[in-house]
Amino acid sequence: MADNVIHVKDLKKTFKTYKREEGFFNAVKSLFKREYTIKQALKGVSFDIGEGEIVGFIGPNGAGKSTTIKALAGVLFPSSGVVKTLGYTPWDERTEYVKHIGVVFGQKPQLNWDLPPLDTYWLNKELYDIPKDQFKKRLNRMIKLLDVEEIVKIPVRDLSLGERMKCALISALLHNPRLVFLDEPTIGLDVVAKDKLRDFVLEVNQKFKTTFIVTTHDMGDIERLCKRIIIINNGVIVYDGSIEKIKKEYLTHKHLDVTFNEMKQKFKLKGCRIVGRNDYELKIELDTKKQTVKNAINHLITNYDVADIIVQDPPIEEIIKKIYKEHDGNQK
Amino acid sequence: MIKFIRILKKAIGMSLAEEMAYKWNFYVKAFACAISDFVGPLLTLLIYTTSEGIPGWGFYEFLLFQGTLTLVFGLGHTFVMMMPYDIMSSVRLGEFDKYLVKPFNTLLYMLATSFDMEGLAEVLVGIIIVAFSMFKLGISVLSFDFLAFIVLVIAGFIMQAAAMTLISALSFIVVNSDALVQLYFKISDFVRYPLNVYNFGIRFFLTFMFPLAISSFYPSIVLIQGATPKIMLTALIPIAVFLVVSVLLWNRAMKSYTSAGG
Amino acid sequence: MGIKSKWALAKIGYKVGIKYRFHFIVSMITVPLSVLIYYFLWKSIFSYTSQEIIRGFTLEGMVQYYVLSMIVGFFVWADVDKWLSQDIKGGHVTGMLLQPMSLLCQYLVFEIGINSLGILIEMIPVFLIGFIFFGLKVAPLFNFTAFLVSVTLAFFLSFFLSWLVGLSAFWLQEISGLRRVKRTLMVFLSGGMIPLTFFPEVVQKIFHFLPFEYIRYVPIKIYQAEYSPLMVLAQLGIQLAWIIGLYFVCKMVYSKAYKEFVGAGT
Repeated sequence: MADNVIHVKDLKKTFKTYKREEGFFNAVKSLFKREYTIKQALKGVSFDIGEGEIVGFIGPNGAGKSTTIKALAGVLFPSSGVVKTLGYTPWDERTEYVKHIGVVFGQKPQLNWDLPPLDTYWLNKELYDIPKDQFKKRLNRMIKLLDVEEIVKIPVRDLSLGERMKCALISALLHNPRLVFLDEPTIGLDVVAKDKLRDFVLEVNQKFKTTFIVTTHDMGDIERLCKRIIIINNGVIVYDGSIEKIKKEYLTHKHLDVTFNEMKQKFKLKGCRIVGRNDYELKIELDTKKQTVKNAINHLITNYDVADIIVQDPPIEEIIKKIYKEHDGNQK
Repeated sequence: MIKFIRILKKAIGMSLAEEMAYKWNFYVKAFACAISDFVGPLLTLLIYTTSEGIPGWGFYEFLLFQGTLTLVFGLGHTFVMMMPYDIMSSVRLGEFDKYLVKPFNTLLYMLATSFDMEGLAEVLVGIIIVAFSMFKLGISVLSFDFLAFIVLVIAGFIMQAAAMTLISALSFIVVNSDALVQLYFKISDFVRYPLNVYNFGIRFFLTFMFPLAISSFYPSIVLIQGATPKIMLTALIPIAVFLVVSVLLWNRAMKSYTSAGG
Repeated sequence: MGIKSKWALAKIGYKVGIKYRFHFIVSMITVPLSVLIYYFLWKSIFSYTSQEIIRGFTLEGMVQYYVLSMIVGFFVWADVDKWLSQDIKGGHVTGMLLQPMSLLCQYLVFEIGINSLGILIEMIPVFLIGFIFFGLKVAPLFNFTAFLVSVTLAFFLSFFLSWLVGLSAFWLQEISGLRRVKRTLMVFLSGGMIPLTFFPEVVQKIFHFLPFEYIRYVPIKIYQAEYSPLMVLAQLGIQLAWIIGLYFVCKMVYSKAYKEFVGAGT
């Protein structure tokens, strides 16, 4: 319990959104009387996160995901509930607390646009009171790790998105924060850049035991980085656990990608459904409750001229979509 | 706080580097600023060559008034004028949160990073005009009045910082914040002329309620007529009150922003 | 591209103007305040001097002058230099060049749309405020008509000058400094801060050869019936001549700007 970097209990947040009407007269009216709607963004969320964990936060937009993150970052204070991060109540002791966290917003620049990243780093040194040698050592180390030696000297506006994200990540880690929030860190990046970024996060996590909270829609991020995911939908947590557990609980199907040597093969087997078709290929969805993979493969090899068979889990998205639907179903 | 000074120094350095990225435009901007500031003295010349001028103010005295105005507004332009624009645009783009996750008082950080080099041209022009008029009027730099003048100039700068804080705070609450800025500039137009031309209501407003008259009238009066405790208190106390009010309003705005989640 | 599309563009400008509904409230406050400042200033100046008339103005005449100056301002204010520089920076110009209407036309129509809104909504109340509070006199029909013609011409004049400033953005990335010079000079040299008769005779003669007085000072004088009917027509003619001349200058500069833009490949 003392180990917990984050402790959240029964977090609730209700928003009053004021209606803003079109037209001149309504604008004047709104100066005197305002109509509003009440939205319950968070209905009671609880979880604990320990040091060195990398946790993914998933949820549809408007589900309460960003509200939770904002509360953890100290940028928003809740209607009720307990939040303790690194021993602080984030919004109460903001200036002190914030010295120990780092934040990276995907796509929203935090580095000075007209100047090289190095200039922003030196400003951060002052902001976070980092001693000079420590600063230099850590900076050089991360520059080497991410291979951005020349890049940090170029004005941010002249960098590609991938380069910018790398530099933004360094900026967030310079002061050796114990907790880092990554908001859509790989959005818009090409495959190679995504990989490099994720490897860097893993390395930092291993070396420094930095705790990472990752909000993302990218399944690649989830699979590579997060051993644990928390799914939020409609203001409540719908799932909190490891990816393996999700797969075991919700994995009822396997996908078989079969390549034949002859064209247009017909295929029928109990528990199997064809979900994709090409001249030489078939994509088969197998219900593991009704059929075994072993059986299906035997059947294929025996009765057809098969060139290749690939057995896969369905993409995580499908599993998560199912979880969303399931919970929505419970609501109704 | 020492930390504030260090951040300020860094921010100024970065701002200068930014400007140098558009070197050409910087020189034009500085020149443009200087030209705009000579319009005032030019008007003075035109008025005084065609009439007796403004009651209570001789030609060089009015020039001194203009110089003071330019100097104080120049200081404001250099250090605090950009703050509402920065805040309003980052709120509009949904980027304001990034300031909240910095380990420093948000208001002070915004003030420290509002440096605009362009204003230095105005400060320079202001100093030149003030120096010139002081020379012509035979006012000595080594006088107690000049010390009072400096104090009031600094107070005028603080007033502008407070006004910018007030505007920024209100921009969180009001929808159309451009209107606030325009209103402020209109009020500042009033203090481009000495207080004694206005009626009592306006004089009262500009001295006690929105004490912007500190930017031009009071410092120059102190140099010309001499500093008295009465003048100093009349000028300084409203500033202190206004400062407290605007900081309180800012805190209130921050509270409401973090409650609404931005 | 016919009238319909031009009308559509003007409507968009109008709609954007609608969004500035607070602008109306702000104008209703700031314009009278501006006139108030000048009223107090000149009242004190007049009280201090023995003259009844300074450079051709009584105190009332002065106040009326400033009210008319504000009104003319609604007509002639051109922000096209700001729009153009923003669009160049934001990379929108490329898309605009693909439209079947010249760039200048697009902005002209847009500006007309915005100004029309200002005229309809803001100018009329200001006229009323002027009549009621500041003693503005109703002009005889001939002068009033000539005034309307004059401010329309003045708008085009102001537009072309702003257009030229805006074109500089094709060469310079940042023109905020230039724009400030333009604003200050245009207001000052057109008589917006002090009537042009306050300048020395020599300078006034020079002003006759510059376009600025035809943007504000001349229309005001037309309204105040300071010219004989023949003179009025002559002044309108000079405005027209300036417009034609500036139009050609604009075309010349634009073709250079276009080459620069296309050459840079952005």
